[in-house]
Amino acid sequence: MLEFARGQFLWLFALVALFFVVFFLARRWKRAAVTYGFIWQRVAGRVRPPAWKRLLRLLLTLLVSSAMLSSAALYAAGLQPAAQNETPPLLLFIVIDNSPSMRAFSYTHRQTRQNLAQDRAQQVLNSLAPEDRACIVHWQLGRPVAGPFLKRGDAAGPAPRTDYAPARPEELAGCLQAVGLPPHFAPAPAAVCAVWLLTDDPPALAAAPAPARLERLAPAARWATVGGLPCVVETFGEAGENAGFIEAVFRPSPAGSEDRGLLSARLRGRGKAGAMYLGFKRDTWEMDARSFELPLKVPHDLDSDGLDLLVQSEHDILTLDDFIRVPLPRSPIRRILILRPKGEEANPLLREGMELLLPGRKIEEREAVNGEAAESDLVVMDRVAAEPSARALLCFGALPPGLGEVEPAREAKAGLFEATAQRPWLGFEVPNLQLLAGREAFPLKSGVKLTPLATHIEAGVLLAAATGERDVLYVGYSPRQSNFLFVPEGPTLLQRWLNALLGRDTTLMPPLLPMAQSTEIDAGAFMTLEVRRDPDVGPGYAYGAESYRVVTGLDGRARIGPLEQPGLYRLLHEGRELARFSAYWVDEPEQAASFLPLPPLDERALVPAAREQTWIDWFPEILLWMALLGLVLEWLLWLAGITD
Amino acid sequence: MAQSLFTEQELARLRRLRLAGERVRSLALRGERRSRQLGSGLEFGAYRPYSQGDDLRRVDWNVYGRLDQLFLKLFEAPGQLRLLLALDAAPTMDFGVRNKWLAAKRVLAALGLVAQATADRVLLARYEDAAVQSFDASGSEQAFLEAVAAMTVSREELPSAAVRSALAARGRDTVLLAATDMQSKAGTLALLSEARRFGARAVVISLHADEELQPQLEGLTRLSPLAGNPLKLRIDARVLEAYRKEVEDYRRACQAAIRATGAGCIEVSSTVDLEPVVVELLRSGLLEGAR
Repeated sequence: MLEFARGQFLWLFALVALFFVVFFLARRWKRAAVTYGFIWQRVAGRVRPPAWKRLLRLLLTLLVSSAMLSSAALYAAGLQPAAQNETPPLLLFIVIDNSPSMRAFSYTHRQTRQNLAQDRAQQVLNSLAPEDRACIVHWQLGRPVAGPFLKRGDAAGPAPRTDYAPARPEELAGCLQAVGLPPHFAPAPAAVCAVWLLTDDPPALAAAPAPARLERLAPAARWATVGGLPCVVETFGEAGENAGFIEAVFRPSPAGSEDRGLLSARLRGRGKAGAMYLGFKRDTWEMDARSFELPLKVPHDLDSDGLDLLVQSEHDILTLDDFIRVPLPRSPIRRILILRPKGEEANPLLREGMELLLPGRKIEEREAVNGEAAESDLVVMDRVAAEPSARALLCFGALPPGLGEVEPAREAKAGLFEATAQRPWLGFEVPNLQLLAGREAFPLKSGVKLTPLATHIEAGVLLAAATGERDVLYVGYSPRQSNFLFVPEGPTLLQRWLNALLGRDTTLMPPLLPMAQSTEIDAGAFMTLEVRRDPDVGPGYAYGAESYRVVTGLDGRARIGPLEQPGLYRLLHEGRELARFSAYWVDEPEQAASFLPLPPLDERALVPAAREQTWIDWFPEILLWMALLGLVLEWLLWLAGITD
Repeated sequence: MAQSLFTEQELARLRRLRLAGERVRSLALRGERRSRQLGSGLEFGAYRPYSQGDDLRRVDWNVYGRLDQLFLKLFEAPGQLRLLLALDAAPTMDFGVRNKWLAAKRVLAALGLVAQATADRVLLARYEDAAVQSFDASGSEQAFLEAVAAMTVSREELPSAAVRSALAARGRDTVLLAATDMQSKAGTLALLSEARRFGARAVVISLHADEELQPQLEGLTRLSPLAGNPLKLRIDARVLEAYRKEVEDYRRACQAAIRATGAGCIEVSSTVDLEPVVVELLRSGLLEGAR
């Protein structure tokens, strides 16, 4: 039997009957009374073709016309052999695992497993029978999501990138059951539903018998069940090594260290780790180990957004875990300005001392000029009473006018100090200064806004300090005409002051955070914090949210994470950056997925075996050929003069 | 009935032509024209039904014995001109928007009316009629016209014995006017042959309808001839051209056959005006009298 995709168009067959009616109406004989009947008979005998010719012409015309009209009607009605509908339609769920491990690169195929799976899904789609439908399932934000019903020839479409695709069979079964059947599948014959799972890490599934229609697709042992539906698994690519970060911790260095911090990392395999300083230089290491500690020697004055660390091994198939971006915490003191009296030569001891105390900073030294702005993170004023704009001030023998005045220089003998009581709020302990001595000592006048730290018996207050919006340390000794920089107590004092100053910037967030973990911060009560991902996505981008809002509780604490995309994040409060951290992708089961290549399935087995064709299958073609041959025959007969 | 043949204007014109004929006759000598007197002559003229008051001596008792009806035997005087109006009543005559049959009757009726002024007797018959109607000059114009109008188309026939005998009786004093469309030419030619045999002068008025010569037909047509078998034909220009040629050849052959009998022939369309035809015949001297 024949079947029709659009049976309503069979009404077009009425055109054939209509054509016959019109044709014969047009051929009706008009009656006319005439005389000279014998002459008409004679004329008719001479000009009229014989009856068989007229009959032949009539039959050809009717044959050609009715065959062409019938062909048109059959074409419009979508005639097709019934063999294709003898088997029930198939609803095939093509589940494409788009977990990160599917991004593993196949060196044999020069593609990722994901691309291979997508191509395979397209092949399967193209192999469906016309009435079959397919539904592609991906994971998005950790949940399986089914796409629309697709038919043969439709495009499979790209899979969304996600870093969470837990292939839990129960979730997948719920998703498949929620899809239902395409509208045209109902009513009977009942549809065959099956699952074609394209993954690199097949879950453990219970065995199940193969559906009758798909028996040739795979051996019986390869069929399993998902949510009651028969499922067959196919994998792609080849197994390979993967050496990637599975743990990374960054610890910033103390203030006096030349390094910015220390990165401790642990790798999944043996690989080569390298670091790339943005805008600075590229450095590489041969870290042929499973773990390493890497001191990050980045200048403190480098205003970098981060440090990219890469891990590579030979034929590292999964590149997602090869990338970690380390945000370097900004030091509050990255530039130092030393001001000296006009006309005086530079004091190399003072410069060297500052380089030792704050290594890696950019130091500028110049004479003080009246009215010229002095701006830096730390301004060292050597007997210069300027009013600089700075985070911290180190004043030798002079004070900014706003803080107070000092008395003229006088000689101060060593060992005649009297230390005042310690000030805990300073954050550091004043060392024993009794060995200090100097020919030039500048005692403070009364009324200054600094807190005295030590008083000379003969001269008065020679050490004072202040904290607040900016830290100020006053030293009444001249760095040139005293032994302040030569005895241990002087640099110790400066070192402690600087450590307290640098340690006042609290760290809200750990600089490195695994994406799937969360961390607790303590930022203050009822603060609305925003976690925003850096738009520079890097190689590990995925599908998911890029910013979050967090409100701290009464105790000022909040929890951040897990995050959905790896990358560099900023923690903002009312637009002000509080911290910067990097989320990196670690999913040990995914990274260690035991990939087992399975032999590919024959997608051609999706379509049932073809039956023996009969003349009915060729009926439309027969009609068309009859029409064509009729036309040719009529033309030839006309050429030969047989018909008129 | 007469009004169905002629309008008053046409009748008036015909009467004027008749008066002209009568003037000619009054100037002619006795015996130079054919006699119009029936009854007292030597040659049998015709029969007419008996009516009350007729002379019983003229009753043809032989006919009475055969037919059981009384007929008077009429005789003509010698030297009288007789005009025999013969109508071909074949079915093909009843054709045309301007009907050929009506045209034939109008032509013959007009000629008969005019001839009553010049001829002694006007005889009227269809080819197949068993009796010939006779009208003399003194007869009623109305009766003559009614007799013509009452004639109907019948069927194709050869001339009857009555018509032949009308020619045979006084052939040399007889002028035969035959109106036909020549589609059944056997009857007409037989009549002309008889006329020639008995020395009668003959003229054939050959009638045709315009749509016979130029048929307005096209496409698939079921032709129903008034005489003959129907046929189906797809008519196009080629067919029409062949038909016209055949008709033309046929009519030309008919005219030749007519002239071969020594008769005259006038082609008349059924749409033609009546008066020119009558005038043409009068000018031909056909009705002027015996030879």
